[in-house]
Amino acid sequence: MNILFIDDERRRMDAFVMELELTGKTIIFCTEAKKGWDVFVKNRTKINLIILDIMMAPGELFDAGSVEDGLRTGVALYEKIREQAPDLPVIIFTNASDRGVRERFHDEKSCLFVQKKGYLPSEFVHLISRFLAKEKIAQD
Amino acid sequence: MQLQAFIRRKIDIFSELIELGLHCAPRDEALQRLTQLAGTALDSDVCNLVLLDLNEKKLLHVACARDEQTYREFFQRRPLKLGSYKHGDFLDYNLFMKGEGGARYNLQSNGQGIIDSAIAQKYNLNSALSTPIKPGGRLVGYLNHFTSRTDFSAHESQTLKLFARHAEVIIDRADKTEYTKTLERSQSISLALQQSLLSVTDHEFLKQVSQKARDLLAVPICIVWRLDQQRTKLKVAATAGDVNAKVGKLELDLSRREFVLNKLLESSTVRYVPDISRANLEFYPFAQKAKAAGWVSLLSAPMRVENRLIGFLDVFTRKRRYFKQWEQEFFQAFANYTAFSIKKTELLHEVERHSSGRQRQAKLGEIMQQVAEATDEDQLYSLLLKKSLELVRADRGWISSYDLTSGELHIKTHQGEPSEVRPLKLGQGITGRSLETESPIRVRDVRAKRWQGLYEEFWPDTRSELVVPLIVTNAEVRSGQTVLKGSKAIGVINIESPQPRAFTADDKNAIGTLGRHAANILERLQDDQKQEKLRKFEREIANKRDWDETIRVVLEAITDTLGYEYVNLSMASPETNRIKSSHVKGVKDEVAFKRMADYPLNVKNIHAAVYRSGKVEVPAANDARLDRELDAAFGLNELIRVFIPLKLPSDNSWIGTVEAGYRRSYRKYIYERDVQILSGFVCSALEQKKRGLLPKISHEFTAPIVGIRGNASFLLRWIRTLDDKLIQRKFEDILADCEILLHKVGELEHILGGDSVAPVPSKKEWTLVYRDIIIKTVNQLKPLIAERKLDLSRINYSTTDTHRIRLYVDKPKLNSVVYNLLINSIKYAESNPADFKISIDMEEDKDFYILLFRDWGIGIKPEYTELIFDDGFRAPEASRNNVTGSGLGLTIARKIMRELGGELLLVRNSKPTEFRLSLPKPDRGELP
Repeated sequence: MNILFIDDERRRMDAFVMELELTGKTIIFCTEAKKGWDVFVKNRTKINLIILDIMMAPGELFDAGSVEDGLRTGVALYEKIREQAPDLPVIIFTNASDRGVRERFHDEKSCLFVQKKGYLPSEFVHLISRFLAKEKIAQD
Repeated sequence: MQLQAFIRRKIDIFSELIELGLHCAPRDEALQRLTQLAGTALDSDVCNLVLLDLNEKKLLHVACARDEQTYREFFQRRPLKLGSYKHGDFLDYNLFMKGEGGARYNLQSNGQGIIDSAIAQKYNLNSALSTPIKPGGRLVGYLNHFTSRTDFSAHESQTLKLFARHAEVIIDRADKTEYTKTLERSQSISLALQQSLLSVTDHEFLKQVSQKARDLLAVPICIVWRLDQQRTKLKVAATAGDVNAKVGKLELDLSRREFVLNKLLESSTVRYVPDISRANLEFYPFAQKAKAAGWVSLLSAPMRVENRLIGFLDVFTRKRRYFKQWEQEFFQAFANYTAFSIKKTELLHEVERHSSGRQRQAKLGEIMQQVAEATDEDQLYSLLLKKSLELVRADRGWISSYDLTSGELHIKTHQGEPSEVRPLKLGQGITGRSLETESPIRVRDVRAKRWQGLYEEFWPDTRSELVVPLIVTNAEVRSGQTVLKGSKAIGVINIESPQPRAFTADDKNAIGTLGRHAANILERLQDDQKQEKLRKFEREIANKRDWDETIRVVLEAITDTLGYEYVNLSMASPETNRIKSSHVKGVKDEVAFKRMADYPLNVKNIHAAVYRSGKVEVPAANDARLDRELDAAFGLNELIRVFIPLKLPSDNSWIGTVEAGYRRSYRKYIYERDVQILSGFVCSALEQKKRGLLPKISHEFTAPIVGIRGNASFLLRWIRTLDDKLIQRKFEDILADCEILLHKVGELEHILGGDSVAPVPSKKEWTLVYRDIIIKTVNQLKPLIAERKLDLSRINYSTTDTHRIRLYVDKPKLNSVVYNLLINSIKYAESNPADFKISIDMEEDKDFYILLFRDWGIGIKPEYTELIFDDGFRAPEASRNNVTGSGLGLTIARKIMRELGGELLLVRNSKPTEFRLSLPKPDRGELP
């Protein structure tokens, strides 16, 4: 199981990454949107799940204005990914709490919106397992 | 033969006499012939027919028969004064008035009141036989037979009487003919007046009356006077004939001459004045002017209705004229008829007004309701024009709105196709004049002299026009700190007609009422539109991440939406005790402006005063608190300006002032409603900007907490299986996030500010700045340095300095400043870790230790040198590389340094970026 984890706060996500790794998952962690996209493009068929943060620096991939100076970088990246992989499971894992972002992902297929503050690392691991199981059933 | 000839002559004489009575020859001609026949029949030396002028006490020789040419010429048509025989006058008035005839003798020695004895002698007249002429029993004169003989026969007496009777017939018939003709003329005049009574204006009717009065009596001049409602002024209402234009505007103020008024008001019958230059006319105030105009005889008839005087009808002659009794009676009857007609017209108009007035009132109410329900400005303009035209039965017009900034009237809607449409300005054309004077104008005829040069033609065949300004009359306006009532121009309604005098006073009143009502509704709709536009700006502001950009939008909203030409936002700094312009729009050189617009808070400056008082103020142009130098340099003298204190509703904190203005030339006032909208908008925008920071702050709190909790949870689950290094790293992460959290709490306190956060008491302690703060902070930041794969060893500071700076200082606060500077250097490091470098060096002077923080990161553009210390400011480059950040760090850091008695400055922008942090050396008393 390969998980692409795109988040600009590596240090704070370290506990989550380690918990996942302890359950046998392989984590490819990218702290920049551009790097994350490149990894995705290169390894699209090998990636089973993407964990994606929302508030990230736009970097070289996006125009700052189009992603509201980074407040919506994850949204733009998600849409870019979806063009290439409409069925790939994606977990939006964010500190953003505004309703607009939450509603954006409300009806998305193969997508789970999760607020970081809601889960301890171990709980997050269980959540991922349940989500992937559900996705598998749906895709079968 | 002689007898036969005598008889034949007599027969001829009497035949002709009978003929005279039957034929309709002119009166005076017939009387002359009758007198000649009488003289012949009686063999008179002189036979004359005299008529009495009882008003003037005169006697007129109408006809005279004597062979001698000079005698005839002397007496013919000559008036002779009737006086008192006893007092020397040779013609006795009383004698003549008796109406008795008879014979008188010895006239050459005594004229006996009927002839001058000298004349009797001259023409050898001894005796006179007289007989009165009384047509219809009314004494009008005498037929006299003078002779040199000394007696008269009975035949002579009978013959004279016979001729007198014929004279009566001639006079009576002539009078009746003239009377009949005048009567017929009078009837025709009355009929004509009656026909035009309701089809012409009051003034035109009176003009016709004056002309008809002239025709009636064949006189050259007529003046119609009207008594005003208060009965204190007698005004010339119409004139006919060659009358000076000044007379047409004449008013006699009767209130100052009570007796004159009383006499005039008492006047109930026609007054005949044969010669106004000789009469005592103190009751008639116009006498002097009439005399000066060369007018002679006057016939003045009061116009009364139900015994109430409403005016006078005066006719004048240029030559002396005797107005017969029946003429006077006719004239009075005509005056009465005129008075009645005027009253009748007034009553009819009143009835019509009452009836159509009620209908119109109902219709007006209906229209006003529709206008009040309009939800859109353009819709209201169209409705207003359509309904106004209906109300005054017109089919062409337009409505223009007033642009308070340019003074121009922009056409919003029009009906009918004008041949040309030009924008007018305040004061230009009748439209602009109406707006300028704030009063409706009813133009009876645009071609009249008084409108030439002012009237602007839109339709070539327009003759009359009704112009009503749309004015809010009770608009609240600011003057000083007080709210007063003023007016506000919204626009103008123009209604035109190809007919002259198409609009009545009632039309003017109705459209005026509608205009005032519509102006209020339009003002409300315009306010709603402004609010709607401002809400869009607020949404735009909410999305702005950049403080500068936010304020740019705020200023744009103020100028574009509220119409101010100039806006200056000044922010107060209690720390520096100054208030200075932070953003300005509407001046040429913004940098120079901001340099000048910087004032201490404790001086008598309008910004400082408004900030301190918290009260909105519109200062007078000569207010001493205005900055004359600045105003002159930037042309602000020409503006009317409002100064508004800025207060953030969330914490009731005053933060500065907003000053806005527009040119005085096109609007007189600063409207209170605009002030409220402006003040509400700026405060709300700033508040919203502040609120916009909260999601970021929330994120910045959540992120370290998630980090701390994740690490703690992980340690709890796996601590026994983890190696010591990992455990230590996890604890360092936790500590770093705790420091970050504490730092964020400081920012939060700054945002909440005001009274909502209790001030933290200063906790001073002896502190080794390097050891206790700098090194400690660097260690705390290790996890962040590692996370970014930066090399900790590239943070350089002199180890020999670690014990040099020892200060009695609030350690947490200083720690916060150092933390902020260092974390910025880490966050904004170049992407290549090899370029990462930070150096911390120390200098000192007499009073200060100076710490120099240098880094070789992305740098700060020169234009942001001071802005980085402003609340909420983030450079675009900063946002690109690090999405989080409130833009408050350096603001708080500088604030803290100033509280500590030091300063924080950016002294170099890049490679290295250098911050200079100065700390005051301890006083002697503080040394341990």
